[in-house]
Amino acid sequence: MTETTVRPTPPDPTPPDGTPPDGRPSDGRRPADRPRLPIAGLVTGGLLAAVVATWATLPGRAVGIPMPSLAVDYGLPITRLILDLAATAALGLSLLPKLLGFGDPARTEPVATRARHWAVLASLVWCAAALVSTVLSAAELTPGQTPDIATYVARIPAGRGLIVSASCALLSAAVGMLAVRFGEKVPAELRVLIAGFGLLPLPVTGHASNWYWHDLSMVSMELHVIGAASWTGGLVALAVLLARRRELLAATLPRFSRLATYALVIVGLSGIFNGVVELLLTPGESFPGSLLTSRYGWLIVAKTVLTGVIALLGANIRWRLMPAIGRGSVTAFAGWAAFELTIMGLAYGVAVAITRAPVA
Amino acid sequence: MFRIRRAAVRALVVPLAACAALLLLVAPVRAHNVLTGSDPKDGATLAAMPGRVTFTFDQPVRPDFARIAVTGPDGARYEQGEVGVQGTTVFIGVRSPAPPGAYSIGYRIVSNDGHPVTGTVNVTVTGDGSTAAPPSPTPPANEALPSAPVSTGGSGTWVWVLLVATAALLVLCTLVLVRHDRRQRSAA
Repeated sequence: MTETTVRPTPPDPTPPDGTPPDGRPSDGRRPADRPRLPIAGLVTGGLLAAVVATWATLPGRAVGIPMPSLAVDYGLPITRLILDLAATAALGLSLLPKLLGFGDPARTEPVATRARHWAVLASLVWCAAALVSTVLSAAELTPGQTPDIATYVARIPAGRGLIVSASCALLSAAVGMLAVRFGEKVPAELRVLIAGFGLLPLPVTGHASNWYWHDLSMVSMELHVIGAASWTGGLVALAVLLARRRELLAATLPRFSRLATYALVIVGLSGIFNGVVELLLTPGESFPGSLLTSRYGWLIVAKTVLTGVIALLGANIRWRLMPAIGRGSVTAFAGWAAFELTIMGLAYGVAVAITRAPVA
Repeated sequence: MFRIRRAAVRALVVPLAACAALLLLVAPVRAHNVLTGSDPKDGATLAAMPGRVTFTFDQPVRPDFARIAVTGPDGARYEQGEVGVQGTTVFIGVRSPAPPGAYSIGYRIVSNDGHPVTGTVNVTVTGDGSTAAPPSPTPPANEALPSAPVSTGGSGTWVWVLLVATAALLVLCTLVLVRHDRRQRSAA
């Protein structure tokens, strides 16, 4: 991580303790030269939104009953955010070889090597975050006692979901290690499959599912998670590894743009569907009113607004920057991508709070 | 262009095929409980403290982990017996000589989706509980299901050992990977 080297400095991985890496350009270089900026934006945005949204939706205190400590109240969403972001990065970096294509190994191989390296690190962070999350969730259920992880995993489906996700992360790291060693001979599809499978148990840990329409809302939720992860993860991979390689970016961006368009439609529709179903089926306030009166409704509104902003930023990259990149001219792609990723980080932070906030 | 579309579609669709299999494994009932009512109601003024307090939720309540605490005006605890769970209701008995004053009744259940649901109901008692006979002074022990033992088995040690071993494995993997990367980059 020496600053004097001419080669592009690799980005910091999401640190396990949740502090964002210092992404501010201090030596006068343009932000586009610093591939750490997108990561910093994503993590900072996520942390900010997760802490604010958690603070706004802290559950009511129960007088006379021990409550979880502040460390659990805030540690759990932050760990969960790190889990989500690491899993997203792992999926996006596994996806990158597919976006790069295999036609010109001489040019793509240096980037693919970096992608494989960071994919393994992201998987390791993902696994660690899932395990810490399990411990904290168990601690949340029995405040004032040593967390009983075995009981939590045995009794609560969310515990099993986290353990399955951690196992998939470990498997993803193992296969990623093989890919680091043997290169693209380890098929990219396999890595994408394992990372994607590890994302699937995560909605089980939220309360997206309800009595009625259970199967439909679960499928919609899985679509939401996979769509958001491949979209955000793909943009992370592009912004970090390709921002300075103009020809590769020109070849890759159209493919990613197509993926992002599908993802936008899927994520938007499934998100609105799930949010509305949850509000409709919650007793108490009637539906359109509960969007504004309940704190859960606020979070839904906040996330819809954020999705709209992300769509606008995506359209800017798609229709304003992409033709210029295709012509080979200099663009502010890195800056715009970092901005879009910051908004995506905010959406991820709100998402963490949505899975935990009291619905009524 | 066809190859691009195939890449994108494959990237999205393959995990979704696996998702169908996963749905079969998922337990069907798992949702967030919401408090729909309580007896006594929040903010109520009562002539006497009833013999038991009841919380009603919109869905059946998970019997393990449920707790209720009744704190009296003197700061003492007035709940009596074990927490009972029956269908959508959670209840507990209240000690009989309950002095007048403000009571805080806190509840905490673990929702069907695994999240804790907590809250407090505040009531004011004006009369002396000793004269006014509450409707059902004895807690109905026969219908109260005893809450399942939560942490009786201290089987925690092996889990912690497993967690520490996994953490060590993760750290080892990270070290190996970073060293491998550094060697490769210095060779390049």
